[in-house]
Parts: sequence; C-alpha cells; structure tokens
Amino acid sequence: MSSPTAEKTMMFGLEATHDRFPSLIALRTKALEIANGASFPTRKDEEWRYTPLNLLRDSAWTPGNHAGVTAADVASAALGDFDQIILVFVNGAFSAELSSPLENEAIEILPLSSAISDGKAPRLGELAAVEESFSPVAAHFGVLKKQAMHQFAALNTASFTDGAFLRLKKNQVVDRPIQLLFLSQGANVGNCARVYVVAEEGSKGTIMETYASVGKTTQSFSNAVVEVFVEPNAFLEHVKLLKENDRATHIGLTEVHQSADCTYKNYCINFGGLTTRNDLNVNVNGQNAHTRLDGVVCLDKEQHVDNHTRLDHAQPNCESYEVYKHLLDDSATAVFNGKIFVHQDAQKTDAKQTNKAILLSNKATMNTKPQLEIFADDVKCTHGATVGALESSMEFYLQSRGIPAQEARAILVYAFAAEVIELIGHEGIRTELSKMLFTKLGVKQ
Amino acid sequence: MLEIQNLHAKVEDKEILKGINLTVNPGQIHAIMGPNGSGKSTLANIIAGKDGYEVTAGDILFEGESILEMAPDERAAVGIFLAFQYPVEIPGVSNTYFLRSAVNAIRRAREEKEMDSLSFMNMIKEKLNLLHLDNDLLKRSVNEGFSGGEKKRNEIFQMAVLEPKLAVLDETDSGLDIDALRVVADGVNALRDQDRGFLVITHYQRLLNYIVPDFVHILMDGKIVKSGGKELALQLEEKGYGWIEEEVLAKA
Ligand SMILES: Nc1ncnc2c1ncn2[C@@H]1O[C@H](COP(=O)(O)OP(=O)(O)OP(=O)(O)O)[C@@H](O)[C@H]1O
Ligand SMILES: [Mg+2]
Repeated sequence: MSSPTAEKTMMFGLEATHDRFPSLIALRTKALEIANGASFPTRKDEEWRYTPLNLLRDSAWTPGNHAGVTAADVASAALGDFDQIILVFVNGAFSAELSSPLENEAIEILPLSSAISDGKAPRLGELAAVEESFSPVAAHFGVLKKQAMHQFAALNTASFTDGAFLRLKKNQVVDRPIQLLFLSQGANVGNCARVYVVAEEGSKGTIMETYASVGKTTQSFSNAVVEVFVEPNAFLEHVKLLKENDRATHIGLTEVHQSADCTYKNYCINFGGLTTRNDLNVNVNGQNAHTRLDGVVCLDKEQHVDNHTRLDHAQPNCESYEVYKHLLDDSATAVFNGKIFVHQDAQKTDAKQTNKAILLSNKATMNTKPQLEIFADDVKCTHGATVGALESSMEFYLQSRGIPAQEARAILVYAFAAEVIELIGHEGIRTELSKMLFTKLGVKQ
Repeated sequence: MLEIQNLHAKVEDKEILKGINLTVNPGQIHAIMGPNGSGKSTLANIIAGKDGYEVTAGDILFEGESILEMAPDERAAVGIFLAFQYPVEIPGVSNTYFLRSAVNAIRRAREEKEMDSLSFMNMIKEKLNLLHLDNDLLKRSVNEGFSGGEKKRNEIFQMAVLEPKLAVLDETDSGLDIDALRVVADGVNALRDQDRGFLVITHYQRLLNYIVPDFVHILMDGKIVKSGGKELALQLEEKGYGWIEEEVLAKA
C-alpha cells in the first residue's frame, strides 16, 4: 500500500545510507518496504492510542553532522562518575575520539558498522540469520515479527548508520559497565541506532544506553532498536536512561531473548524528552530464568512517556517481577501498558507486576493497562496498579518535624521513585541515578 | 509559654472542641486524661497544625504569639513537637536522612548554621543510647515495619534529637511494655528543665509515676471539666470517669 504517509517514513534520506553495508542490502530493502507499507500510527491504533506522533510526522528530519561535540559535552551528558567504558555516538555516528578505548579481555566491543563490514564478530552470523528469516515463514520469531508490527523498528533496520556490538564472553565477569551514549545535536536531527548485545554462557555484566541532547538542540528524533541475547547462566543488567531535552522524540524497541537459568534485569529510567515511546519485549525461552523489568518515569511540563512492556513466558519454572513508578507533574502524561503472556508450557511461572503513579498536579494524566494472558493452569500471576496523590499524613509527619511543605513533598516523591533505582545492582549507576533524581526533584542531599 | 484560649474546633461540621482553656508555663508538665473520643488527639493535632480542623473560636498562643496561621514546619521551628498517637510509616526515607533534614530545616528557619554530618552523627548516636535504640534503626525507613513500641520510642527519640520547647505526647505510653515505658519516661525526664513544657496525653496513671505531672486535666466531650494535681490521676485510676460526669451534671 502506497499512501501519502509512506513518504513520511522515508526520513533521514534513506537512499543515501542504503548501500552503506552491502551485506545488508536485501535486509534493508525488505525493511524499507515494511516501513513504507505500514501506515503512520495514529491515536486510532490501540497500541498508540495515547501517544501523539504529530510532531514526528509533520517535521522534516535530517541526519545532522557529527562535528562540534566536545569531551566536556560527553562528560556532562554521560552518567558518571564511576569506572566504565563509554561509547559515544553523535547523531548516529560513532566517535572514536570521544569514546573509551574498546579493547577488553572479557568483552568484545565494536561499533556495529565495523562489526558488520569487517565480519569480525562471530555473532554477526545471527544478524545475517535475521536477514534470512525475513521470509514469511520465519516471521514468527523475535524482532522480525515485531518489525512487521512496529514500523519504527523496520525503519531502524532500513536506515541505521551505526550502533554497538557487545559480546560478554563466556564465563567472564565484567565489573565495569558499558555505557552507550547517543547524543543528538543540531536542529531537526533524526537518527537510528542499532545495538546488539550477547551475554554468553555464564557471563555477568552491566550495559547502559543513555540518550541525551547536546547544546541548543531544537527538535530531535532518536529511533533505537536494541537486541539482547542472554545465554544460559548469564547475568545481565541493562539500564536505559532517557534524559533528552524537552523537544526530543524518542522511540525505542528493545527485544530480549532469555535462555535457561539466566537473569536479565532491565531498568528504564525516563527523566527527559518531549515524547517517548519504549517497547520492551522479553521472550523467556528457557527454564529457571529470572526477569526483572523496572521503570521510573519522572516528568513535568508537557512531557509524555509511553512504556509498553511485553513478557512472554514460554517455558516452565521462571519468575518475573515488574515495578514501574511514575511521578507526573504539570501537564505531563504517561502510559503504562504491561502485557504478560504465560504460554501453555510455562507451568509454575511466578509473575508479579505493579505499576504506581503519583500525580503532583491535577492536570497530569496516567493511563495504565495491565494485561495478563495465561494459558497454563499452575501459575502464580498478580498485577496491581495505583494512581493517586501524595499521602497527606506522611507530608504532615515530615512537616511537623520542621521540614517545609515543598521539601517534604520532594522527599516523599523521591522515596517513591527511588525504590526502583535502589534495585540497580551496579553501585556507581545506582548512586548517580539517585543523585540525578535528587537534583530533578530539588531534594537536598 | 502555651496559652490555649477558649478553643472551639470542628471536623467536617462536627464540633469536637467546645471551649478549651489551658496554660502551660515553662518547666511544667501537664497531663491530659479523658475518655476515648473526648478530643485529646484533636487538641494535639491542632497545636501541631494538622489540616482538616476548623477553629471556629478562640486562639492558641505560643510565647505570646498566635500560632494558628503558622504552617506545621514553622511551629516545629519555634519549638513545638508532637509525638503522634499513631506514627505513620514512610517507606523509602531513612531515619538518618529524615532526621538530618528535620534538624537542618529547623536550623535554617532559625537562621543558624546547618550541622555537619560528623557532629550530626555523634549527636544522633548519643540520643540513640539514651533511648536504648539500636544503631540499625538509623538505616531503616521511618517507622516502616517497626513494632508498636518501637514506633513510640522512635517518637521520643525524635523529640530528644529536636529538643523542642514544648512537647505534646499523645498516648506515647500506649502499647509499651514496662521496660519501654521506663525508657520513654527517662527520655522525657532527661529533657525536663525549667524552660521546657510538656503536655502529656495518657489513659493510664502508670506513666505519671515516672513522669510526674504538675497538673492533671480531664477532658470530656471537648471541654476541660476538672483540673487538679497528680492525685487526680490516682482518683481516676480508682474510680473511672463516672463520678466526674456526675459532678459536671450536678454543677450544670
Ligand atoms: N476526620 C474526622 N472526621 C470525623 N470525625 C472525626 C475526625 N477526627 C476526629 N473525629 C471525631 O472527633 C472525636 C474526637 O477524636 P479524638 O481523636 O480527638 O479523640 P481522643 O480523645 O484522642 O480519643 P482516644 O482516647 O480514643 O485517642 C471522635 O468522636 C472522633 O470520631
Ligand atoms: Mg487520641
């Protein structure tokens, strides 16, 4: 179907980047077809009902240039201050100068572009397999199926310029987190980042994506796809921090595949942006796997965040916990749509989902839709949602001890949101995110 | 230091306090006793500045100034403290953080220098010992998962830290075992001096063996119907409230 909206998906001069990776031409051509074939999501689409994309649709986007970002910009945009490896991408292009040295014994770290063109990465076979599986037959699996449903993922496949390839090697424990910093700079820049992460058998580590704006960025659009494979007995913590300016649009799809006996923990920290949509799909394909999906949304003004999570429990004896907390001030709006599918074979699944919102203004809005679909009979699944104002009795308690009303509220909202941040295992990330939250809420440390 | 003058107050259109007069001078301990629902907590909450009460007549003066228009934190800053009958749990806020925020907020309001963390911690540890409380209480969230008795001790611990000029204790003795009762009383007595006043709300004479009051007032149906010395508490213990009701009726 070629409709007027089809042109709108051809942002970023797709033709130009089309032949950047000759080995991917077939894949990208197909993806472009999908992207163009789908109509632009509107609020009539159930999955996009609460998330307005007019700005995205009605603006012209350019790839931008890659110059002018300094080490100081990186220092202020990246989450510091702890021992880590940072990879910096400016408007979608990898910057070796701004990044840490990539050599590492325990983990293979490559800009995706070199991983693709050098064929260095053994795991790239899988990306190629992804390419082949673009046949309708194989379209039942993972990201491809979603790509057909999620045109932004297809758009990403068609037009990503770079990204990261991370491979935590077998049985290696990586203490230093890897932070992928995606910076938008300049007017009306739009870019697609693609990330591919494998935590090999028995490995352990922490990865982080940070999306930030530099300088006087006016409008920007970042469209990311992150694929994560967690192999047996691996342990992976994955933090996504969104701190773009309040004119930025972000759409991100994270597709996770968990094997048996592994642990995957995802923390989605929404501290910025104008319009954000995160899709997080976790496919639990092995037994005895542990999953945590947690999120904090802290917004004000006209900010909007839409978190869609989907957990597919396909195998028995797995447990998953999910806690999303929202703090909404001014006219901010948030959406939480949490799907949990417990498939027929997934007996003894233990799945808990909670989402809570505190509305700090009567113009703030929370839309929440938990969705449990259970096809197995011997499972424990619960979900719960609360939306409300701050507890006045707690506020009075703090005030009666001398703490002024505004500070009392800040302390209470901090405590509410910090519960999620406190779950993060990596101390440096945890501490720095707590500090960010303190600053954001105007709480004294 | 505290003058309650003809105080009338309503909650949701229901008149609860019907003309209370009470003066607490520096150095004095006043006990308030009275049946359930007579308005004791209402009075305590209004002194501390809780929302939801409408003062329809009268005034409360603290050191000569009306406090009715003051926010609760401003009242704390001038030296008013309420130990709650039912302390709330505040998940996610550690006791240390909470207390340091309180101490420093009060110091800022008084235009004093904030306390550095070392002197703060030293001071806190000293007060913990005074209340026989465990160090790990500091790391825990305010009142979260505390037993009834621990919550009450935590109130007195906070009082010891903030050193108010006027402390209102609302049934701090309820739910305490004998040892905890003594500890709480020690906490109060340690703070007792010629400049400080206490308003102790209780149902039991027992507490007053440890915290010996200068005056005992009986609050019934929103009014102080009888005042006396510490022996009044003993009489109550023995005879209940019936004879006072009769006395009131006879006078009317
Ligand atoms: N928010 C409210 N709405 C309606 N009635 C209220 C409210 N708060 C208090 N009251 C009523 O006011 C009266 C006095 O309550 P208060 O808590 O002051 O009693 P008390 O003397 O402290 O009792 P107790 O000894 O049981 O603690 C009670 O009848 C109570 O039900
Ligand atoms: Mg009471």
